[in-house]
Amino acid sequence: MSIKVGKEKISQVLDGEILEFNPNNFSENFSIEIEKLTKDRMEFVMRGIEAPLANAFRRILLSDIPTIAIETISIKNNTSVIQDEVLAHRLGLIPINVDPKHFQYRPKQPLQKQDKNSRPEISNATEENTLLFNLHVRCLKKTDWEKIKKSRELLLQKQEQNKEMNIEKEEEEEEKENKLNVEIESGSESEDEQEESEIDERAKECVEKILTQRAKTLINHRVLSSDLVWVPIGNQQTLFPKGIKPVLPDILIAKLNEGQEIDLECEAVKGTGRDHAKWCPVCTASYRMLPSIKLKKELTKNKSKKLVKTCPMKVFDIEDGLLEIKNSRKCTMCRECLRGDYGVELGLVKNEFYFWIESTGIIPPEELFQQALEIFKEKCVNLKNNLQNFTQKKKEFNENEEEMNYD
Amino acid sequence: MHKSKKLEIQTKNGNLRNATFTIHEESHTLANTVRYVLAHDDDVNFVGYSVPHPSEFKVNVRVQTQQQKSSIERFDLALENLCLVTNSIQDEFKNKLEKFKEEKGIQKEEVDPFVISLKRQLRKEYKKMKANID
Repeated sequence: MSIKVGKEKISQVLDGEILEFNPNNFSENFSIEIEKLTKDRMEFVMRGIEAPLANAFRRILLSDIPTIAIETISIKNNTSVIQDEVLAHRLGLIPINVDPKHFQYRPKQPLQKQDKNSRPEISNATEENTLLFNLHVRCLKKTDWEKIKKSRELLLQKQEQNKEMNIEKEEEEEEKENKLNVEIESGSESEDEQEESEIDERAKECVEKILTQRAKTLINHRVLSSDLVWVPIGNQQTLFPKGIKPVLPDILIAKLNEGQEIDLECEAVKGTGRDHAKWCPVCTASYRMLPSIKLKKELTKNKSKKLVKTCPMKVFDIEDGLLEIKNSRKCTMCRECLRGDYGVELGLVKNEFYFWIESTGIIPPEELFQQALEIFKEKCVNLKNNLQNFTQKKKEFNENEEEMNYD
Repeated sequence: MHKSKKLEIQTKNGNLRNATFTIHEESHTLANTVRYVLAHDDDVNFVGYSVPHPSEFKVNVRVQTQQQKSSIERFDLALENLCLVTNSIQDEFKNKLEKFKEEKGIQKEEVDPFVISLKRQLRKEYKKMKANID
């Protein structure tokens, strides 16, 4: 049985055997060929399997494999142009490079126990089901930043001196902190090298100059995913000695201008793609059926040359004066070969699937497919157990009453 | 926490030849596959499934069998066959994966994209510094 692709419609054709499903003979007819395997992408062909099974695996890859992504955010300060909720949405979509096997799902508290004052999700956070990240970025002018650095060094020196001289620390520290804050706020361009007398308020540059020189004169004007810092809780430091970071460090989260700041705390949680697409472990997982191309007529030389020309994917070729199908796999079903009278029969092979899996980088694609198979088996076994419970209950029920009746 | 039921079976007067299985927390993923397996079963007269409403996460599977056969048994057998089939798929995949890796000589390199990106950034900054000095 194959699928015939016509000019305007697709139909099923019985040409010989009907494909039967026999679990005993399955492994004889089934084969996999891996075509391509990189750390992000896997392409392979499955033969001897039919659409419902292949589709089930594809659906599981998209929706039922767990990963970890940022779910709750506590924003302490956000003076950037990006709104809180947009920032939160973007942070959730960042893929985090950690194996979700080490973690459990965070249980949701039942609604009855919800108080006005308690924050339900956070009270269930433990080291086994949450990852904490910190993001604190402040955009400053480079000149200001250097000043702050220097004044901080001076502060430390002075502190040491104070310890030696036994002068009261608190008063002086307060003074210096105030001076520091004033430095940050004023943003002056002064070239004074005297750090301690800067309560000057000078005029700032005009906006155009600032914009063009933004990258040169500002630090941290782009907030990247590498700025997300992992905060280990409990025994997480021992479980993950290398640290946990996002898969890619140069994902742009937000852009800041001088004086703007983002200060927030994130909690990352285990979830599945069914809940939200941020938890999906694949960029995409897809398949197509392999084409079957047959030549039903003998063509003249001119016609065969025309046919070779009309195909945009160069599926046909003339070798030794004979028309041959060279690359049937490249066929994209554009149906150009059906437009003339070439006697080409186009179809799809019902039990051959060309699968490709693109991973986001958290889990390698070959592991993803194996996990998908495991999850499918778990579903079947789980359902089976439920069935058996049901039959047992019914038996107990019926032992007291009538027998089960078959008409 | 109260756990909801996974499976409900509706029959007429307890007659197990024709039954509707309502499976919660499932979708086309499992239901279409079970339907496909049961459709190739000789003892099953009719099998079909539906998703009553896309907002509700459940499916109904209808099975009608030949004389003297229980639909529950057939359903059970179908699930078992599916498990066997996935086992053989797993084995085949593992074998082919090992072969592929041997042929291509793929060694498990731990190439951290984080480190590669950082190196790139450092190189850029180094160039900038050089330019500034000059």
